[in-house]
Amino acid sequence: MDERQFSALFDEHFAEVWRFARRRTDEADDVASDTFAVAWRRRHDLPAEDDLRLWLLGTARRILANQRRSTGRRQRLHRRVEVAAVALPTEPDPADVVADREADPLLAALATLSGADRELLVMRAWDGLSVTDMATLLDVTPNAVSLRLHKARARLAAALDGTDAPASRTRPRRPHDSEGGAS
Amino acid sequence: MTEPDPLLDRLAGLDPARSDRLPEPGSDRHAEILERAMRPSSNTSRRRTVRLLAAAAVVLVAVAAVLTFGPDGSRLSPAAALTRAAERTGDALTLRSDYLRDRGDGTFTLIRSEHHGADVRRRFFTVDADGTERPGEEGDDFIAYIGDRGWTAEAPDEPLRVDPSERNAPYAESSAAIVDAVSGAPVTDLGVDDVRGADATHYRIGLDDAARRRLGDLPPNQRSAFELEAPDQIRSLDVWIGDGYIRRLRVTQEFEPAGSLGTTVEFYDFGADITVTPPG
Repeated sequence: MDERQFSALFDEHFAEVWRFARRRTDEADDVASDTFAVAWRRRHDLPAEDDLRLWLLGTARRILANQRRSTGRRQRLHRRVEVAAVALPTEPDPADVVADREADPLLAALATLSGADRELLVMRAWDGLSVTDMATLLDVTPNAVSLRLHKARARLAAALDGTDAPASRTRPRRPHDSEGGAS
Repeated sequence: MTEPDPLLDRLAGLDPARSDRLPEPGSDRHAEILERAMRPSSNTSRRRTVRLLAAAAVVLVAVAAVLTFGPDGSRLSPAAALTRAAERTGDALTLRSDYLRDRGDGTFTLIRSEHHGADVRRRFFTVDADGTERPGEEGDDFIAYIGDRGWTAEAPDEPLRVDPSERNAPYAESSAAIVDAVSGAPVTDLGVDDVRGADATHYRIGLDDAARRRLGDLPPNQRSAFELEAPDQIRSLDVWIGDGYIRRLRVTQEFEPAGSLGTTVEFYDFGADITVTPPG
């Protein structure tokens, strides 16, 4: 694959990768750039076109997870005398992204869910992924995705109503709790 | 989940990416993202430039007569000795340091560092009341910075990108800046002490308003290792100078109601053959 061909690939998939990142971080440009950097390095070893979309989203997902871990470590470094007292960016978190837009009570309810629930609902409602695609990205069976999505939806509805879902109560958010981790 | 779902449909309508501006094809931002993907920037040349400049500084220092004695052999005034030592220490390319922070319970945090320019490897220890040094609770606890990359003991295989401007200045540079900032204040010569087996003259700085103001004006990355964000809290500032270098700097501060905070840094092995390498 030469530069011209890679540019065409970039043009075709950029919008979806950027939006996927934007739903999860304020640094979507960086995540998109890093995602396509991985693709460029592996341009001779990329999956076939049918699988490329999910491969790119999976790569973006790993980069987002690394970004959160790195930010967490940087914050720990900051506390350990070594790093100067200069403000660092806070940990990106989908809940924070949606919290910025809490004018709608549905977003406020979404922000109260666990990271795993949020990721499932965001994948479905915002990324527009099918259950099969979600199963591929999360490395679980489609049946497991369907079941978890059903429960997550119930908890979202309960949170919107201001009541707890009957099972698997919403747990309080912890730092670094934003990774999907639906397994 | 293929049937219409009013709740998820409503959620879909709130997709934040819908309202945010996607970098449009043909825009500078779009092109920049592609460019960064295909040509990740390298900091190699910048790092090389920094090292060359640092090496040049060492050559300049080497030819300068910067001991605590003037060219005619006369002993320098305390203020002149401090100024010269600050210059010389701040310009050192390679050295080692021990940073001790009093925890207030008879124990200390010890950070033992090796420096090559701005590259540094630090190891963290606890020093018990009897002087015993213990590594971190989880074994070897370290941080290493090379250029804009940082490694920690928690994830030695995953370097972080840390902008050098977000890091503390090297301790030698910080100490030099602090000593330079207070060199115009009244200084008392308290005689010669032994610092790591060598003679060093002990000076106590009498901090006046001007000196505290100058300390407060130092950049955050030069103050923060010594937590000098509140110069009014400083109770004492002592400097030991030997062979023209700062050998020890001790700052004691008093915070109410937390109590006193003492930080001491000692410098040694100036000019040693030190290369900071990634872990592993």
